[in-house]
Amino acid sequence: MEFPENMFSLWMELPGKLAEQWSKLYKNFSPENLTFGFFKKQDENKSMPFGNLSLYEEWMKMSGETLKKIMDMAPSGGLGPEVFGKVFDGLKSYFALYEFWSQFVKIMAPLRGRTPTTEEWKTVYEKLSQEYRVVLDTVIGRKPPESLEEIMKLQGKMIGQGIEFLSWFKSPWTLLSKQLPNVATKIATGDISAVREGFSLWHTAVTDTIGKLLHIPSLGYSREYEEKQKELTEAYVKFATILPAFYSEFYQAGLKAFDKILEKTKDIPFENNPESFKKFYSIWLQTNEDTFYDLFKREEFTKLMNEVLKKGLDFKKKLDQNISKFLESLSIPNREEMDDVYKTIYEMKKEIRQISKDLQEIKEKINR
Amino acid sequence: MVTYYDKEIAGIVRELEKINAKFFKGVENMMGIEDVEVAPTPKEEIMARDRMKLYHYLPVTDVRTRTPLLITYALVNRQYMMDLQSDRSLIQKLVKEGVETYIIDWGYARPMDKYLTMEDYIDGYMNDCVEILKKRHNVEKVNMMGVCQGGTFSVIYAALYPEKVKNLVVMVAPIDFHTNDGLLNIWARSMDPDKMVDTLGNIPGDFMNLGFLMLKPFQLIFDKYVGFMESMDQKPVVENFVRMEKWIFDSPDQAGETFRKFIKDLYQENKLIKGEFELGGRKVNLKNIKMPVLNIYAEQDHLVPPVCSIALMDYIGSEDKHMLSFPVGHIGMYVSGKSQKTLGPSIAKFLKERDY
Repeated sequence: MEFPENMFSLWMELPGKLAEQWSKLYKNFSPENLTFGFFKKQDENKSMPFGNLSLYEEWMKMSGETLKKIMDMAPSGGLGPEVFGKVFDGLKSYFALYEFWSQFVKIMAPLRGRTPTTEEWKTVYEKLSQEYRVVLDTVIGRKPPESLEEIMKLQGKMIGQGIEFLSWFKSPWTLLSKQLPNVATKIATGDISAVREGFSLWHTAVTDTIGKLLHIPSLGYSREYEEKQKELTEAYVKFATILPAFYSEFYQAGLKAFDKILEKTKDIPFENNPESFKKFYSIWLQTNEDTFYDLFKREEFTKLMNEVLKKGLDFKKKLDQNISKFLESLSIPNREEMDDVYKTIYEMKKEIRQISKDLQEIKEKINR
Repeated sequence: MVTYYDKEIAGIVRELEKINAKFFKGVENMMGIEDVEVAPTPKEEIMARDRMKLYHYLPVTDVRTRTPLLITYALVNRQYMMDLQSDRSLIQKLVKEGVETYIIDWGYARPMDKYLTMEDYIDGYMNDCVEILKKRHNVEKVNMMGVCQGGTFSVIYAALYPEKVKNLVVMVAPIDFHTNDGLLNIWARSMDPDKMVDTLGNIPGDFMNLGFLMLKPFQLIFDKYVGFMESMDQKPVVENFVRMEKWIFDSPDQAGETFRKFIKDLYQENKLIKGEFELGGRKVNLKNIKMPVLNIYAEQDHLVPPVCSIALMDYIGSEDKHMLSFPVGHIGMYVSGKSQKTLGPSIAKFLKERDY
């Protein structure tokens, strides 16, 4: 293990830096500075406003910065740092949940001890589901938008090739841009089936535009190459299009779990303390685990998962074929050629093993 | 004047300081770990062929079983789970009980190994190991212990070569694949193994791991690490955790042709219990298994649900057959305190009582 030369001095400096950061943190949260967020100073006779989100945020930021310094000092790679990366990712989600919970306690406080009206509950639900989106984004990830971005980039490239004037290309996207806000509103008001609807609309737009473009026949000297490229692009588009639908299932399950969590926790008088959060966390964890288990057991999910896998494999196959084609002009063997060699070696080894066994048996018979 | 806010904030900050102290101690503990030692029980290499190695654990007792025990682990993950660390080692328990113990290490499949079939593993490598043990110990039969997928392999071997197996121990092994209790069983039924193998060759270990993580995503990707945070300031706990993480993500690729047959014939068509499974042109008849059998399963197994393992008892021809279960999960079987106390001694007792 190699340590940087100045590691000792860096390590010595660390407590000082930590103290400095802590003092900044204290300063930010001294009563006279409590003038932002829901930490805003209120009438002191009233109870403490719920939540300490900003404090935790500051703490996370501070810890993150210090951690980065430590990680810079430590040798790169190794099992410990690798595992630590996973722990740190887990903590990010944990704190996202904590932030939500802080808001949850605050939002639910006025309703405590009485039954809210339908209108009140609707407002609270909307607020909470909005807040919960951050948790979902952190825990489940932002895969759908990323994939959408990829498709958009691809679309951009196509447009760059001078095809954008075609009205048939534009219209599905225009239609989609009109439909998506309605879907977003539905999702915001708790209609989780709208998530799937959104991706279905988007899928249609992709198929009607990029899908059609890829079927335009190629001509001329580079026809074979272009067709291979198109096949590869088409395989990628198909894969990238189904992937968000797959992730939307996760997102949808996450929202479904959120509804169940709300149902289970809305009457629990949570206090803003660690024990209370732990209780909430354990309900959150089990409800999610159960909801996702139900999702994973569903036949439609299994079919979709295998469809994603198939599309991914189709893309990989096309990619491999294209790479092999490129490599033909170089003086190195491609995968297909290596496979031939591997197979021959495999068969020869098997044959040799059999011959050795037979020979051994013959020897034993002779010696008897 | 000290206000309510001052007290409240001071309390929160104290809490954060405590977490911080724990956290940074944990970081310090973890950053220094480049690797961790696994498989501490002393052993010697007896044979190496292609990627496969056969190891013999060095005996520590004068009185030992006459019949050697050959342990076959799954192709998924590595066999050192059974000898993870000194205080969590099934192997060490067996050796201390005087069981002559051998284990197959399948190694890491390389691209050229994609043609390896189940015949190569069972009729080839496993049978070669059995022959070596027979010669080394001058016996006609050996004891076999198969774990998880290695359990399925051992059952197939015992059905094909009953004359070479004295006693059979099967641990958390899938035998009846058609259950809806396990997600893997459900997912595998609509998989397209042909497409997977034809495209990928070997099936990447990372792909397999992703599937395993999805079985309990919130516990395995999230809660496990959050829970660990509580004790990451304690070095031994950190080392144990890192050791387990090393094992979990130390996943060899699956030889393509073996994966194809395992999924199609077993997970999808459930041929083994139907008496339709073939290996090297021979039908595998489970009724041929007439030797004593100890079938061990984990009551909370989410990878191989208990019903998959228990089914073995209904299809074999043995009269001397026993079941043993533990209130643990698939992995807990090797490492949990509950199983550590009784698992090793129970297996040793079963083998010793039949070592005549």
